Amino acid sequence: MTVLSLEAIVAAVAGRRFGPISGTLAPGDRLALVGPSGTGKTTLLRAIAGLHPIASGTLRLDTEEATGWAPERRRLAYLHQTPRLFPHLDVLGNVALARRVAGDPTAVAAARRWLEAVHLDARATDGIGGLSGGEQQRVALARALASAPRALLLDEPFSALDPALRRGIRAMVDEVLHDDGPAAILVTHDLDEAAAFASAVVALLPDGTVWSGPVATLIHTPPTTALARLVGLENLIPPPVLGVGVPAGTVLVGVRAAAVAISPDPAGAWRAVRCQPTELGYRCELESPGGRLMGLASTALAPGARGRVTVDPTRLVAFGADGTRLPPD
Amino acid sequence: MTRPARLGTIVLAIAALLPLAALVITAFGTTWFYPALLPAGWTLEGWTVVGGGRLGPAVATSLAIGSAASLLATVAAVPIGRAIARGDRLVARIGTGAAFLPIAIPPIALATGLQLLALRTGVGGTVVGVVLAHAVPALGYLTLFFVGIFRGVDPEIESAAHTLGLSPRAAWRHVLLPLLRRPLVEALLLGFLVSWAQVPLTLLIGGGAVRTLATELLAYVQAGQDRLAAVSALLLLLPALLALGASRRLARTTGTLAG
Repeated sequence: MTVLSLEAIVAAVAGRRFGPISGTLAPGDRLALVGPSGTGKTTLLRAIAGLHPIASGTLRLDTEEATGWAPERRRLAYLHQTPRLFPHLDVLGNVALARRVAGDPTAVAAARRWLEAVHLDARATDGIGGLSGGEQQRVALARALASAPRALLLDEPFSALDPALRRGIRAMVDEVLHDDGPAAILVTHDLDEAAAFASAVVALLPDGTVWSGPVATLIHTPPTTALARLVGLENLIPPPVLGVGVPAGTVLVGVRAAAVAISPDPAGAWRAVRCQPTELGYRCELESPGGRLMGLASTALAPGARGRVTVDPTRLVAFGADGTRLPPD
Repeated sequence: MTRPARLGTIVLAIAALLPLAALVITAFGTTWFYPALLPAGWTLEGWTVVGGGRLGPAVATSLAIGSAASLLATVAAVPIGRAIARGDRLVARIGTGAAFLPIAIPPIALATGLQLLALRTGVGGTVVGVVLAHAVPALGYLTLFFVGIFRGVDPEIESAAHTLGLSPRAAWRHVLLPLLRRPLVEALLLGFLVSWAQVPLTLLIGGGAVRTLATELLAYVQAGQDRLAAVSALLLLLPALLALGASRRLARTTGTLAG
């Protein structure tokens, strides 16, 4: 059963149009909206929530057309980047408010259950001023879920938190958004976050184009060079630089640094530019007369030291003159 | 405190307290002639008029007009201030300009303009007319006050409430109004004070038929009844002092928005 359906949704702000984006979500489904800053991710999410006008396209909730509905009728709980808690209410008051206003006699009991789910039941009577940033975001999550929304709209709600806290809250979101829970859309510029959250992704590119599909396709075999750049493919280079076999018509080859093994070799064709330690050894940038390449080495190469590279051919992505991916030979 | 600052504070205190002292002495003293520092005796005679005669009804009228004008101006200023604070630059410029007008115009000029309107609409010489006239400058002050307040209230808090299912009315009632509790009380006090001390608007719109404490004070001064004028002046001071006290108390007891 579809709870949220996006049909070519376009949002406009200051003369710029973003989208169109499409997709359908059933309970428990998750979609990630990714793209660099300024590509309209938040504007589109706000348009879906009803906080910004939809310039064109159709929004359906359950089976009804809801393009012109007010936000309170859509019941798509919006989780902001920084939690917008109600400062005059305590933690429990914040979480219970929506149901209490709706006249639900179980509002407080439900709020307590959600506070338990985000491990904040002990803070129920605390004012929100005394909570840490992570705790406030958990209260905002509990408040959103306690309102029994059709779907949850998450606008980079983890970005203001430090990495350890971010991982913790991400895990908590996973825990509470179970299969029969509300559908959710996450806006993020962090592809790892998108991949951890959803299996389907809509990518918004700086040139205004939109791609949607499985997140694994986007990461492993980006369909265009623009998407390859979006997913941070470190090496996007002409084929002769690598000296590997590629399909006919290949103009650029994309390969992740993790698929390029570097080993020191005084007779090697490559010269190290710089190396930096990573959890997998060293990430080194090499150069040759044909261009530069990023790869992984088990030991650091001093700047100017020579080395050779071995590329995993199964992880190469070839792009043609029009920037689209070419099928492997 | 530096010496110039101390000197400045003393000068300010004298400037503020000297007229007050003269009022207290005149209101409670019997006869007081130069060069005596204090009056020959003390009396509460001047205060007996508060309970009856002209002053009692005038105080009641002032209270009623001040409360009504303040309520009217506050109710209007909240949405107007919000619209200006949340509007684009053009709305902000036009809105704040319009709010400044009734404050910036000399009171007598504003009163003359409003009198012409009051006479044509048939509310001249009535309490309703005076209430409406007093609400005009109060609306100017309070609009500017609420523009400042709403610029400090994150509009996304309201957005969050809407996406949780709260209608605009419910969001006002359960989110915005509790947040605005202190500014609302302050606005009501400020609006009341603007009306309470009004003379030109009351005289011109009320046309002598509406007598408030401020206009009675003027009448006593013109008639040379110093003791009654002093009593009236002290009564006129009272709400300002109470408002100051209430505002400070609110500042201590509420932790929401600073007004």
